[in-house]
Amino acid sequence: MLFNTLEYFLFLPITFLLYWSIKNTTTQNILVLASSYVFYGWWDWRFLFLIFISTVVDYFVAIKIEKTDYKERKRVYLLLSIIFNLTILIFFKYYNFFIESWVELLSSIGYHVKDVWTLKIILPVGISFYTFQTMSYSLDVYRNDIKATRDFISFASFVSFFPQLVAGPIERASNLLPQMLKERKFDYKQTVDGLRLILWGLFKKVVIADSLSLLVNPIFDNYEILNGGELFLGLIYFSFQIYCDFSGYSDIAIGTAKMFGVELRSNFIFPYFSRDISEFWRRWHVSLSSWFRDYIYIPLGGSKNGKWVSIRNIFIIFIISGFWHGANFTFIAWGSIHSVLYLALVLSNKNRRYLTSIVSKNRAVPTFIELYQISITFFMVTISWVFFRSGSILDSFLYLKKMLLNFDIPISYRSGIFYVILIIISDWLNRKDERKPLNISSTNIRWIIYVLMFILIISHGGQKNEFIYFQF
Amino acid sequence: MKKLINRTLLFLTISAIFSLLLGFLSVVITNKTFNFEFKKYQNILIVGNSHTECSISDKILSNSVNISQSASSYFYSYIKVREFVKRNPTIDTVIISFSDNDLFSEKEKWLSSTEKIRNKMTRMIFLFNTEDYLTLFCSNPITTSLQSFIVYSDFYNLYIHRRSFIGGYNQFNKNKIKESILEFNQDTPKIDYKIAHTELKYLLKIYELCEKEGVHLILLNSPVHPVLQSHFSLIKDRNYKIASEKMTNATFLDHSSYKLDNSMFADLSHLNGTGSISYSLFLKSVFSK
Repeated sequence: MLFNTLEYFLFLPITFLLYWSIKNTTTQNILVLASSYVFYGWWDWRFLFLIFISTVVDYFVAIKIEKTDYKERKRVYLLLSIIFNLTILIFFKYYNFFIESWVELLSSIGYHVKDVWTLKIILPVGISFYTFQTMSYSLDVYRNDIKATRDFISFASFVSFFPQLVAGPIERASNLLPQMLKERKFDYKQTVDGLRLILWGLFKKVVIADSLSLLVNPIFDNYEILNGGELFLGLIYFSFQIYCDFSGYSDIAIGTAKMFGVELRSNFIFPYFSRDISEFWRRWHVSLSSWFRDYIYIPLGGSKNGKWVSIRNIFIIFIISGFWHGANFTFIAWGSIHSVLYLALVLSNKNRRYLTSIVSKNRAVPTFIELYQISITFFMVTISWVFFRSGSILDSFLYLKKMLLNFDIPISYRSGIFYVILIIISDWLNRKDERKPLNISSTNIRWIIYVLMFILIISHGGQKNEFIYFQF
Repeated sequence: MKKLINRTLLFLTISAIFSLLLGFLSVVITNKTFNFEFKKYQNILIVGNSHTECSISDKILSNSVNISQSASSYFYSYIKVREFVKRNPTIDTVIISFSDNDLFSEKEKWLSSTEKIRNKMTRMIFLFNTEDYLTLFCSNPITTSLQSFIVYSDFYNLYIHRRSFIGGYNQFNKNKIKESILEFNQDTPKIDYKIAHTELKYLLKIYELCEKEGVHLILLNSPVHPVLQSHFSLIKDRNYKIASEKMTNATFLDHSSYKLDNSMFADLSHLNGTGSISYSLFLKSVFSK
């Protein structure tokens, strides 16, 4: 089920009313679990067994890890969880990629394979998200960060919690599981905040991202015949399309969870106002980058074992991050570009300059230096998106070559500039708190804006475009 | 919880009222500003679905105006004929697509399916009268009701694109005839002997309207690829019978076997740009006679 469909528009209030009509936490969790399975099964019920098996494996593995006193046995159980989750992830997501790459490699050295063992595999929606979530639970129990739960229903609700099941934010058991175990009470303010986030998320997805996609798709499909200016616009549009698409999804997820009395982690904190690449990665897809930091980068030694180890680790997490996004060399190239940009900051010890600060916190407009930093960072990020969006690395280079060598004033595809300006202004005004969009003190003005946004969402809603991150 | 429900209902009511007002306003403005008028020398109106949309260039057949649109039910063609003939006394001929499969029972969906209503209703509603609205409503009440709240959504497109947004000649540049033949051989479409009654009803209404207004109706079976032409040959007689029995004064032009090179087709049932130019020149010569 997609967030931007009529089905969800009916599903959400029904589930919400049923949920708050129940007073018992266990029954509430049973309802969350059942509705999450309905939500997922609406797409394809056959893949529910994957979530279920992943849930069962990690539930028992975590208990075993906790029960045993022997470190080696703990390690074996942990490996069982990791191998199981990675096996299903690799099989469904990367099997064909590995086979095809192997065949290409063989044919490049003159050995042509006649029978290719590729399979017609459907990529289960959200597999990269929920496998990471369940794996992190076993890892946290192994590291004694949390206790293994004996409440299977609560644990299964944590794994399959429908607002964030298919595209995150990737939750940690330490944050979400305790909320599933404790009693939840209806809070009017929390629910209204949630509804506001849903409205804002839908606006970003349906009005901005989907409108930009109508321009981005023909530009990338016909880049050979367009001028450099139009290709540049295509790139800018894609930057904002993917941002509004994915952050819109996260806002809807966080907002929906709030309606059920649950607080999820923030996933996007105005990444395009970052002043360097390291700040960008603290603001873009936060739940994934922090996952890689906590479960790969730090266990590998992080930055504490010398510069070379640190460089190696940074390179590894960015390559994995790229590969996580899809079984294609373009994503690896995208990850590599970011690793190089990040490494430049690490080597000059400038990667921790903007850890928590908000750009131009006490000013209405940025300083010239801030504007310059933001523009440069945005430009680098945007260039890297070519690799993310193109079908092949060759296409990416040809796109960039055409854009730079054939630059001219764009004569078509200019209508998207309106959407770009709209999102920049609204994000700038909101930049102090990503969880409180549309925070306008005057009730009348606020309601007028709500109604206008709602009307725009409904009128743009006919396309029912999937969220980009569903494919990952 | 009560407060939340009350506020939500209030919000939805305000949004609904505002949407309806906006829709009403956009219908009125579009109706007032839309360019219905033809040039004096334009006496032929072309309506119908993708068959006429892709096969007749009104630049070549210069005394015509093509406002056909793909996947248009005869219901929408009827509304177009009614509104344009009423405002243009110069129109003396209406050409409408009447291909072999246009009365297949599956074409009932062209009026009632959710997808089609979503696509057509907001761009055509400014031409509707109450009866049209009720017809659509009875065919699919839920989608029609929901769509009524977003009538304004195509106002911008109608304002920018004007007449082309409700139909026009479409020059296809593709040629996928090889793939289409392959697809046809793998999955040959069945011949549907059941008739789409609502489609036939509106086709007959178009005929009656033309008769009343003194306009000559031409039922055009436009060129299709020989593979499809021979496949549909079994049903051809039925369509001819309907035309000759129920629309006695209409002309049935069967050009389905008009010879064109493979390179002139977009797919089995549609001409591409080169094909449509060749066919439009031929049609021009037919009309000049």
